[in-house]
Amino acid sequence: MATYLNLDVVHYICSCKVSKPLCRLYLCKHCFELRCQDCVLPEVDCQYCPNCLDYMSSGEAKVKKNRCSACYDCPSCGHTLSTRATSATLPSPDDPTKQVAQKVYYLLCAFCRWTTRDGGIPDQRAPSVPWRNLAQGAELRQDNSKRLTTLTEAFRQLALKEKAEKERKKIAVRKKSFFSPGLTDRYGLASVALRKKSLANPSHFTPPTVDIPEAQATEDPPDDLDEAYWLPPVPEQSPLAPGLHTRSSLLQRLADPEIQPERSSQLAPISKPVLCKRSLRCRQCDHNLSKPELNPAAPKFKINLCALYNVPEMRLYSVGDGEGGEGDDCCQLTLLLTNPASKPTGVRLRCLDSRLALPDREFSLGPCGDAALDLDDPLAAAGAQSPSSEPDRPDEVAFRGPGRLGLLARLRCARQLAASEGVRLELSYEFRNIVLPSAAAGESVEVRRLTAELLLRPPASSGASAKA
Amino acid sequence: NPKINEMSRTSVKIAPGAVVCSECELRGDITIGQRTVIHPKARILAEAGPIIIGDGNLIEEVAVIHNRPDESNPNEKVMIIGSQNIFEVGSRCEAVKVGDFNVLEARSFVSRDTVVSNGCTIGAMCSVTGREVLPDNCVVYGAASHRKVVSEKPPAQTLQLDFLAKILPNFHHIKKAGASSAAAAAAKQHRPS
Repeated sequence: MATYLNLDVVHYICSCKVSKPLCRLYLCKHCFELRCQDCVLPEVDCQYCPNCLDYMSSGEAKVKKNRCSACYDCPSCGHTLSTRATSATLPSPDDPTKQVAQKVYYLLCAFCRWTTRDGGIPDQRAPSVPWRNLAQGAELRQDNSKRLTTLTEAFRQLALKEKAEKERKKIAVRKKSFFSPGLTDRYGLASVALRKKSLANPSHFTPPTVDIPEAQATEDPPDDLDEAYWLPPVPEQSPLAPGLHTRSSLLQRLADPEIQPERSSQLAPISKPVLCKRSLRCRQCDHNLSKPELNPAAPKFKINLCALYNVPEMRLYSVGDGEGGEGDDCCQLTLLLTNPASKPTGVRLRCLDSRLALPDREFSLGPCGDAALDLDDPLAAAGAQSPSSEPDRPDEVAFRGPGRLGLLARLRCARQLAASEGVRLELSYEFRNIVLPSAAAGESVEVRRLTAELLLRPPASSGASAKA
Repeated sequence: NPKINEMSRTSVKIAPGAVVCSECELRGDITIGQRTVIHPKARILAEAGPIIIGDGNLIEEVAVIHNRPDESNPNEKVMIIGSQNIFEVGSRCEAVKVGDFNVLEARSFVSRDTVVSNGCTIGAMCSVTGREVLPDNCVVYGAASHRKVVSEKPPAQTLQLDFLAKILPNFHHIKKAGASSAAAAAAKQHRPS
């Protein structure tokens, strides 16, 4: 993931004791803990084609072999093929004697300029056509699939037959005397019993005669390869030796295991594999943490419990020079705290290994940018003042903004920091949990005090800049 | 210094129908064929000899066509570019001989030693530097400058050329057709026989 920020400076500790940047974590609002990618169970929601964004359910995708039916990849370079149209004079479909200019379509890769014409596929009259089936050797592949379906049908029937035999054995254990129709036909059960008996009789199932040939040993390969296998020698000057460009590369061959084309004229468009939309579930409490919309064109979420939207984010804003005071191995850091919620929250930072001198009281952060605009008081919206009654002290607070707070902190033993893992901090904040409306009361908001452990690792250059 | 004298003797012969924006940089002895469109900020530098550009070419912005002097071979060489070629934005062509229907995509580079034949496509950011003749309809693509030969040349961009010929004069000053240099007589001596 490319970002403007250095994500390694501030890490949050997940419930599994692994440190990750906040953007990689989720907050489970039922367990009230941070979860990382490993604490979370992914589930496939639906499959979609990355090109046409056509989405299908998992069952449908299984039938389509996890491929899009309309989009194709270039067999030469792997990019998506686009459909191009040209006009050609062809006999018109109505009147075969007349030559009419008609639109014909072919597939083209915009990156490497491979076209279906290079693969020997003639131009088609309609833009959406099963291109792959038109490639060379398609009839051979279809014959193989027919054979495979006959075989699977035969084995499926065999399986049914074996299952019926098992059932019959179970029924046969019971005593037959009570059910023989000769003795008791008071309730007209004779015909029913007879029918059941005949169904359980395996003679009904005659497996279709499928010709499964015996395995035969292949002939011994000849010792010397046929001359035709050797390509003509490559002249030293030309990089594109005659014949070399007619061969497919190994990557191209392996990208299409069905055909495994040896020659570049055998390359056929590859049906585009689909990607999946997944939803994430907390492993502990089984609630959903992230559930996207089914439609891949809509980047919204039904449930989005990313930690970035729920936990105040701390960033290293700036590193100042040491100003003496507690020895010259000191530097002053400015930590930026951002409130992601639309309601104000109270935040308190505490250093766990006493390396960082932090103001030891709770600060309230206003609501974040968008919600702040709704506030009536323009000053409160700008967040210039502390929302609570306590005024900010200039040796503790560097600045304020809408939903943001710059805290001043003094770091001791800055040079030793590079060797150690980092400074461990504890951030406690208020989390507003919107509880679903119950029958009696309306929607209620539960305010909980949560804590998160942080790991601050100022980048190495800041340690070097500390005055010697 | 004879080189400085040559560069200062800029003489450009523009065929009728060619659209050459005034803001392009033309240095040295250059001949431009019919229906060729040269965008502003293109640079055509005939340093080590004249450049002859054929018909129907499209030379886009920041493209450089440079007849660069070669220390190993200081003889004057004429750079001949055929017709219906496209030099996309930022492409650099130092090849001495370029055929027809080629496309040099954005930021591509062709060195002096290479001979570009017909219908070649040099992909974006690809560079071709070997001493060789590129085969017809060759395509160079990818970060590793892969090669392959396709069956047909890139399509001619006549629609685009017509459109540009109509639109560019509305927004840019265009150089007039004809020999535009006081030293046209001197240029005639340099024309290859």
